[in-house]
Amino acid sequence: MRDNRGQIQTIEGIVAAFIVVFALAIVVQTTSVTPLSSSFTNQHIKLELQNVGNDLLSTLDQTPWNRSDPASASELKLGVVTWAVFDNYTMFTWNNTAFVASDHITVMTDSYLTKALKFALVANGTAFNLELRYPDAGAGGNMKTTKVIWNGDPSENSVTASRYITLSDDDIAHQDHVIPDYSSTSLHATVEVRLTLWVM
Amino acid sequence: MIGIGIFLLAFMFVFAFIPGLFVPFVSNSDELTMTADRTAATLVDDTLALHDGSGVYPGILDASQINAFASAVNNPAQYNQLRAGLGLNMTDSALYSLEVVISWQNGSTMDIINSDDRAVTLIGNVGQSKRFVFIRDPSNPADYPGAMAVLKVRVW
Repeated sequence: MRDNRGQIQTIEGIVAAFIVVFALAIVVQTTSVTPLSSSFTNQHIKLELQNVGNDLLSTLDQTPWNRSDPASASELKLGVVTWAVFDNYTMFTWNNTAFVASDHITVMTDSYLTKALKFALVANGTAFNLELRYPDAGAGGNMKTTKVIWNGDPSENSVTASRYITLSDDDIAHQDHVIPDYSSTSLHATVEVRLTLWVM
Repeated sequence: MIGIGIFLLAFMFVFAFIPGLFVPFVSNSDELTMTADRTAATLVDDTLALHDGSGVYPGILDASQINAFASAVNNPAQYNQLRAGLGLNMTDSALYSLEVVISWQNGSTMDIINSDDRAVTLIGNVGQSKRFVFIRDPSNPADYPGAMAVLKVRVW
């Protein structure tokens, strides 16, 4: 059989294939929108979260606890030291009214850090984790991470904000059992305070 | 020939129609969002920030600067100058509207908005940026270290 319909049928074939691929692409992109899927957290929401996290850490770090002494420890550092000294490195979780330890009785000692977290994040329904990272005692430059407040594994849309603070031997016991003394001088360690935020 | 004609026509129609299906979900407020971010950054890091002999404290706001800002917003001449200073003028005649909402830790809120802007209906895109700040009154030592607040900047 000989006729001249070959070209048209070729075009039709290509176009039909294209429609099928196009429909598939749309289906794949649309069905996956669930509250936890990656496209749910808008880029701008992430930016807002990161702004709030950075603001929280930087404003606390710029506020010396003693008004008349600008060189006194910042509220951020005081929050970390308070937790280390009074709460003895216990990991806390938000239980809807307070930060509690795993025994559900011990409550985290209040500081401006916990107040700020409650006001800026908890009250706005933002989930967060607070961790400290610091150099390990042994050589090799390994970093250790300790959880301060842990509200579960962050979603894949989490953002982080961090701020470095320096702890001196006056702030924290020289023979501290968690954060090792990193130098022979009065510097104890440089600690990264890391806040991971995500929308639940 | 007629068959393929109808087929191509239908194909064209589908192509022209499908992007229209998604229009309500597509945001074209990127520009506003960026403007809001920039405005919030300028306000928090400079305009409203606490100044003293040793410098500026970004993120720590001066209560008196906030009051000065609120009165400037409601003064037409100062407001135009303020918006020009914040880069909120698209042309000489068209200016972005600005609203600043401050929510204090104790639950009270302060809504800074020009009365003309309030009359502008909020139809269309609004850019918003949210910042965490400390608000301090340097003249009142008992106020130290100040109150925590969330500052929202809306631009449209």
